[in-house]
Amino acid sequence: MDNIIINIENLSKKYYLNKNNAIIPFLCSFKKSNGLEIRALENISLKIKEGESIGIIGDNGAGKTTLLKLISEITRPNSGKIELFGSVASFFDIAFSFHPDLSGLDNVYFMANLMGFSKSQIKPIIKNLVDFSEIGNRINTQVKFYSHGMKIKLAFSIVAFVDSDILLFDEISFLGEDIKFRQKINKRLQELKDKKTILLVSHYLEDIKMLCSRTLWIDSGEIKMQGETVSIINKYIKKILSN
Amino acid sequence: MLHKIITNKKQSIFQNLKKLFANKSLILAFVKRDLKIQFAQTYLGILWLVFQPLLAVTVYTLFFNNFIKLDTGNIPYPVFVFSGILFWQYFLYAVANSSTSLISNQNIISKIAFPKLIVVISKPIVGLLSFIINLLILTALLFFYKIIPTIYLLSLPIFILLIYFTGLSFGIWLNSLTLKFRDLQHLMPTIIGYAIWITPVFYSVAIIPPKMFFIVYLNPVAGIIEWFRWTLFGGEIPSLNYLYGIAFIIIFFILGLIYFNRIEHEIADKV
Repeated sequence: MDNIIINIENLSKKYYLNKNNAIIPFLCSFKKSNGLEIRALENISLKIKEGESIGIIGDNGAGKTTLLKLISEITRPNSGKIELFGSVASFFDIAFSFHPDLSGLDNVYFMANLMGFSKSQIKPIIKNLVDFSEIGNRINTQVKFYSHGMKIKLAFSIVAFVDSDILLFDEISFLGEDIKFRQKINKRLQELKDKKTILLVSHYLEDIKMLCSRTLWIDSGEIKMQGETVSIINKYIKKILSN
Repeated sequence: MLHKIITNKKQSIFQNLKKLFANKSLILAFVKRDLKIQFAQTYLGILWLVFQPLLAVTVYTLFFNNFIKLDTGNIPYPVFVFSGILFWQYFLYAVANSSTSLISNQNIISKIAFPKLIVVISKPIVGLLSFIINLLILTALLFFYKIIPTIYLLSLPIFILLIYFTGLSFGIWLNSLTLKFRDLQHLMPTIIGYAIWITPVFYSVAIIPPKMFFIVYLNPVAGIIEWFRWTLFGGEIPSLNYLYGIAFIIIFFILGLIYFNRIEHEIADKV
């Protein structure tokens, strides 16, 4: 599989933190708010082939999450472009996007709806999804009564069944669950790894070693280096330990 | 083969509106979800939706019909005031609730890409539920006072559409501005509450001095209420000057869409 599925050229993203957050001071000052400019990503260029599993590591604030948000169109770049040749599904701590007053089932339907799947696409897989989550009858209980583990399992079940060419994962640990569930996730991930293109942002370096053949090290908005996973991770660890 | 290019180019309003119409099922999903959440959170649930307008009509009748006698012609005061409460409460709901739709949905906006306008337009649709309940109460009042409305009451759907777009326009503007100025979410409900004084809800528009009429004419909710009352009770046709208020809302709405479209790509960053 040598087709490029994601082509990123000269991508840049800035965030602006405004000081004036209240209307009366703004009306009184009449000058443009002097905010802080944060350069999240600077001139990133990257080509990802279909079927690759890429790890993305780096310090906090390096721009890793920003990169995933740009690819999933949650936010727009300031300059540059991203070319996609497949559908994208992204997972940013999805367990925290559940609404506590709705049942697990309602949340799953709603999340899938948000991700662009129609009811007719969700309905046939809902039973398998709920079985996978091991939540059982509690699927009809409000999420506010779920334990943290239950929420994560439910979130993972959505991940496991979403059919999309490109999968983006942000700070999701695959190894943090009980053994039985972990095995299920691992099996599913290996299946996904063969067919899908995966980008994984994580501080859990073991997850990256397990899943990704190639890794990017992002530092201060730029790709510091990229290459074979174990080698990049070792260099990264070396730098952290030397600080 | 799927091919998409993401750049810093903003989409035009027409492309965005097209996307919105393609996402009808998502709009429905938001409405259903908001309704479920609303009823999960209030113990009284649907009872509150009945209790609230009844409380309003009782208080207004007590003060403006018993303590002070405001003239409403030969229309019984409770029905008169309720015909105004019907639209006023919807407007208040739409403004108070939709001004923070974006902020309160921060946890999904910052994590999943979807047309943000859906979040703003679903709240006023949810408000239609209490509107329908109020309509039933109004029907009961009309029955009780043996008032038969004119045939023009059939134009009710037009009024519903107008009040929906009035609430929606304010919702769009408030959401956009609240993103930048967080204190608006606290200021707006208070300010909008005062607007009842320029809306002939609990008083007849006849008590307004002629020089001040232009304020009422510009108020779209006033026009909706006055014309609606005419379809209910008949009598003198209201002034066509109320169309200024309707024109204001149309312009306000279009400008709101334009501004929202301009800032849409920043919403996920600022929410």
